[in-house]
Amino acid sequence: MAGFEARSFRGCGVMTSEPFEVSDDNESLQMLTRSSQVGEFYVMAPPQVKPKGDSDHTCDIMIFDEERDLHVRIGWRDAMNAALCKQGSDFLSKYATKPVNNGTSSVTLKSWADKAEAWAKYNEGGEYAATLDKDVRLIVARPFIEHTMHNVIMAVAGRDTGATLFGPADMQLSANTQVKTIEGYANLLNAHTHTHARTHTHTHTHP
Amino acid sequence: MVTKPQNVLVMRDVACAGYVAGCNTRWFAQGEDGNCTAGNAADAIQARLSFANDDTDRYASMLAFPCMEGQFNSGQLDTVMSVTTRLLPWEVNQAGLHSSFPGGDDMYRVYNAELQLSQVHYGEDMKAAENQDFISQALAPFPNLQPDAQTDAPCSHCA
Repeated sequence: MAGFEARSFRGCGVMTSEPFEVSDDNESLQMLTRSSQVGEFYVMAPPQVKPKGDSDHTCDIMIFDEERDLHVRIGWRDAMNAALCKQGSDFLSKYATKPVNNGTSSVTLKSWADKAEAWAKYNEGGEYAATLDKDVRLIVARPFIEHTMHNVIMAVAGRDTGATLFGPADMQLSANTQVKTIEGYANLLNAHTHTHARTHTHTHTHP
Repeated sequence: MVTKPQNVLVMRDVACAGYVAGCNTRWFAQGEDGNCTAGNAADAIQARLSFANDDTDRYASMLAFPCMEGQFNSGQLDTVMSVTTRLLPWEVNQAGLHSSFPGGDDMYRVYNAELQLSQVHYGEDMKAAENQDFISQALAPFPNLQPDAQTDAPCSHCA
């Protein structure tokens, strides 16, 4: 198989895309590499049965820190504070009566914070009590985990799949910033049949 | 130019080329003084999404929300949730309520206002995103190349 760089992988010819040099001031552009975001969340829950031994850190979790390449302990109280629900906070005062459970119980933000505070004290060495509410949860989310990722285009060889078009190219791109859409129009010559082809496409970009 | 899309398979994100941001254990809400405020969170989210800290390259990653077990038992929140203005596919036809948000729609309204979560997708055509128009409109007919190769979803702008 002919190409810029031809190899074979399990019977398939492989062509590797080469990066484009955009300018001296910018990094080269690799058309098959893009930034990709994923999100994840963790559910922090207090012990569902009374732990044997010490109560310290029984509500904490350990999650992976990719920048430091190690696991980091996320404390119950730290998560509580990050949820802006520290006892006496302005946020808590402002929204004290707002329901937390989407209609599945009568818990308000204030009562949730009181229950979470009771677990925080237990988590720091306090005594276990039957009044501790085991249904309290804290959600820890990492919504913008971003990596540059490689992509692959796999295609059946031959004219049946498509054609390579050569110039003179009339390629126009415009950005519709209001709806974050890029619109493209191309008028090209089919190298095989010498016919013209027009295409008009839209691509949405995501931040 | 592809005239037979069935012959082409685009495999996205098959290998990681490098880490960019978003997977550390710093809180968006926590300031340099260690205190957590909504203002810190809104500013830090904006800084992260716009890569504002070119000099330090230091961004936060984490948010926290209150929740109760009942929301999991009811099926409103199980394996996926949305922390932005964008709804989950099965929430689109439910009066636009963020049932999957931790604490439910009331908590979504509270945190959306305080953390300015709407800035994440600000300016986006939300209906187009929910209807996945960016996929259906990306296909185009090529009448001069192969008249019988019309796609099932021709671009409405070319009709």
